[in-house]
Amino acid sequence: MQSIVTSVKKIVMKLIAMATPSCDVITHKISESFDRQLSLWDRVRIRLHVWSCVFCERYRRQLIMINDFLQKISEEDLSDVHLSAEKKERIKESMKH
Amino acid sequence: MESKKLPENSALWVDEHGDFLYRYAYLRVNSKNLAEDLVQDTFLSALKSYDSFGQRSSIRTWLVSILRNKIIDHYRKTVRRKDIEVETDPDHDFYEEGPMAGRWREDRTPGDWDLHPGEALRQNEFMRILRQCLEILPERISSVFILREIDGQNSEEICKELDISPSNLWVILHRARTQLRRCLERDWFGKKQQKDL
Repeated sequence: MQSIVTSVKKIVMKLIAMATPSCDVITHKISESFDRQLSLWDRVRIRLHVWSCVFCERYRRQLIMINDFLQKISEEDLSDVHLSAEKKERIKESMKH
Repeated sequence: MESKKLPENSALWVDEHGDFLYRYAYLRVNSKNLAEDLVQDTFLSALKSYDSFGQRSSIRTWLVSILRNKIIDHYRKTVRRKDIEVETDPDHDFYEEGPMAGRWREDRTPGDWDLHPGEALRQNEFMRILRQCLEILPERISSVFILREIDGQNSEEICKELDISPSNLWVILHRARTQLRRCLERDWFGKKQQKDL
């Protein structure tokens, strides 16, 4: 019984993969979804595709992770980066003219 | 001719805000020399326009707004519309022809990156490599991406400021994410897997 369910699931997944756009197109759409509201149709296609494609689902999760970490980057992380004393003096000098 | 009177303590601006402005610029232009020049230009412009500074905001906020405009001017010069329109991705992740056209290439499939909340060391390593990967993005791509992801500007604002079309913007942002992802897959996930073997 379980093998029949697994086989049916595999066939359904294959049909979905065939019916939705390719991974190339879907990854573009996933990226775009970070920058604008996609149409309902596009959202459904992405949902169906990532349900049947483990790699595009990983891609989607990877972009979310990159996004989350990028939000944490700020000037505070560069505490070891500073203007040299020499450059500061040069700037002060230029401000006198 | 009488020389223009300098605002009180203007030399102190450099000591008090110089490092902060430098970090702000360096994070966004990824070049020490350029960041220094932009900071110097910022102080000079601030002196010139001091009369119009109504003290409605702090000196630092005002200086950052001047610097930001200079960074945007620099970005505008680097993001040339034509270059981006003709540019193609030289390192494709998908099969280009045959029955598998458009599907992930076998040697490019994304790995399972999942990080768990307790893995602080791995998170720090991820952040370090993410910063490195961000630094090697081509400038015309990273400038747009930084505005979007680090400064959190929305698409309309970026298109207006850099004078690019929305479709161009999405192509650039997608390319930035693709290159960052690939770089992390290789330098973070790939090395982690080697260690685990």
